Amino acid sequence: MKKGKCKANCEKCPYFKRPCVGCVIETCLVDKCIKGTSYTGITHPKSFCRLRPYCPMGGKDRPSRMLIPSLGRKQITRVRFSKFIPEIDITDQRSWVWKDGFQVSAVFVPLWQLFANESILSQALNKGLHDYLGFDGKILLSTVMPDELIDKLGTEDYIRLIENLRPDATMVPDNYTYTDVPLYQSWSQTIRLVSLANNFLKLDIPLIGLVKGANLRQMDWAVRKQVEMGFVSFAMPARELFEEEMLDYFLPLVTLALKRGLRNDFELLLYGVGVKLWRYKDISLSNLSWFLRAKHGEYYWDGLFYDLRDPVIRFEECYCEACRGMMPQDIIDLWLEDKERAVKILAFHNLLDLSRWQRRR
Amino acid sequence: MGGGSAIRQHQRRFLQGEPEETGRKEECVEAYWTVKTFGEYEMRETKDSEYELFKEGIAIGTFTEAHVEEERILFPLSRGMLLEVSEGGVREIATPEKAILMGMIASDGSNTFRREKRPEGGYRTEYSIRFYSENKELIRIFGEVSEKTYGLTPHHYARKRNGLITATIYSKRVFYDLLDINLKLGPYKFHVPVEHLDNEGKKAFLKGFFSGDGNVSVSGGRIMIRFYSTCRSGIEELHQIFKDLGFHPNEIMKEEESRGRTTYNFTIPTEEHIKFIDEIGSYKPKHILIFEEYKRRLEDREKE
Ligand SMILES: [Zn+2]
Ligand SMILES: [Zn+2]
Repeated sequence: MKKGKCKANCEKCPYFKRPCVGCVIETCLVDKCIKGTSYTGITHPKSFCRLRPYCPMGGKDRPSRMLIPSLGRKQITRVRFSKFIPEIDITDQRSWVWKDGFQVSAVFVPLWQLFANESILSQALNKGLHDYLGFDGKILLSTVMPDELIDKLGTEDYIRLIENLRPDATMVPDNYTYTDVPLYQSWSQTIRLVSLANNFLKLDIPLIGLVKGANLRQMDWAVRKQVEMGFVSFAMPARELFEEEMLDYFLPLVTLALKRGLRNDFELLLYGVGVKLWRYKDISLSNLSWFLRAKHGEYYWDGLFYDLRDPVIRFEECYCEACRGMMPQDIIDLWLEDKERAVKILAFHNLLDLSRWQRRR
Repeated sequence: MGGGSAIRQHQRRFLQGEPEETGRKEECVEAYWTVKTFGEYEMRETKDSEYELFKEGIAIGTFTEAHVEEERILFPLSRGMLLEVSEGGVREIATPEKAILMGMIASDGSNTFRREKRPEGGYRTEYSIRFYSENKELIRIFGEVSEKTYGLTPHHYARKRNGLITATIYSKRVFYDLLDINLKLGPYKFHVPVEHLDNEGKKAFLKGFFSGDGNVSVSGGRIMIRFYSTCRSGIEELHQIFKDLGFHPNEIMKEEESRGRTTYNFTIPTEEHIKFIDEIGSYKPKHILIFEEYKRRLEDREKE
């Protein structure tokens, strides 16, 4: 096959010379749209369509090919991920657990949230994140963000932000790689990821590489290039893979790719997965679920969450630093009296449960 | 962000990404005109009569319906909410019907869940939203606004002993919807979700609240319009939205009742009674009668 269903001449593709899998298994959204099925917000309505550059009738050219820069290399310090690193909600102080005297050593702050709140952004830029949050543990900056923002930010924007926000470590800039659009887009994004990671080498804080890709070849390539540059700490945004039950397939292969380049001298963190996966002992975890679930009255026990009233846990006492012997029923009672306090205790309990090294039983 | 399938990502982030039959394409041309712009927001209408909202040139939403006003555009969302786009930016506000519903629940309702053991084993959770009243007209209004807001008809139970009627909606979706805006903080505690109310919404909320827990007393041709509750923060919020609407409510008073209960209340000054009756009013037949009588007397007095 020379031409893809999107009419692109695959033999002239600068990235690879085979039609993408979307053409083979008929999942490509461009192909689907031409045949008569469009998707709201992606290929429908017409003026909305994000795939025009990839469509033979789109009237727009494909973006020009991304070039792989010559990569630098430097010694990057390990971030030293703990078992669980909570992500916080910068607009909701109830997630700032240290304010209530609870101890936490490191947190992830999502950069996109600052963009959504101009007054928070300007204060944080002025004071730096440590002062703004009143937190003296480690602040790790998460760059995982909506696609619209990804398209808007360049290296210089990131560097300026990071110099003012002064986090203790940062992820390299995020990208987007979808499985149901022509691979040209996800390869462009993958090369962009490596190229921006390369630009980040000039920052003098520990850097967190990203494990991303629309398929294994892209993930493997992105990992290999980042290893070549000296990256040793990696985060893998894994929510979609986990929900699509693909994580158990990809994770061993990603670990293998890391081991090939670094033997055991690396650390890996799963980002955005809401439950604890005990089978991956050496892999760290980060999410906001500990807090989101607490707001809805949900309680973690051995890394899984339950409704506070679930009989499995309802009368089990917990001796963590937050509960100090309370059982979920006590939190329910407290909820009726003083909801704010109950949410805070529940949130910190959830955080501690996800940080455990061992199961309770 | 963006990994996995683009469709799933859109379903999660924008509640979009639903398939549409758009026909086999031989050509595909962009066609739209700009209806209105507010700062960095632009609203376009397409050839297919759909509306699209852009922020700084990036599409952020598509809608089949829009109400264009001088100062703002409103897009209907689900659950009785509207997306309001104006110079001030974008926010989600409640429709007047939903604001009435929220006011009624804040005053004389509840939003709770309960877990019950099934006889055949296992558990089930029951989510319920209730409104209590002995007045059939108020129960009818509650039914009407919950139909309009959520498309749900409440179940009714009447207690023989005292005639109290309970109207109940059983729905997890509604429970979480109201939980997320912190409407009920506890049995007698409420919060006014001002961030989701425009002026019309504030008036509707007050009318719903007043119909439930408002108090009008008459003595010698004069009336007293009073808001009261044990929930101090809630009363303070009600007081504030009256000010937002250009009223000058009297100061909040604290009262210790004999049974050790503390209540907070404020009244509407006499000069603003007519403004209150015209702009807010009540659904409670007893209140309506008193208000009508009061207006008639005033008119008679002017004629003299
Ligand atoms: Zn293709
Ligand atoms: Zn605990």
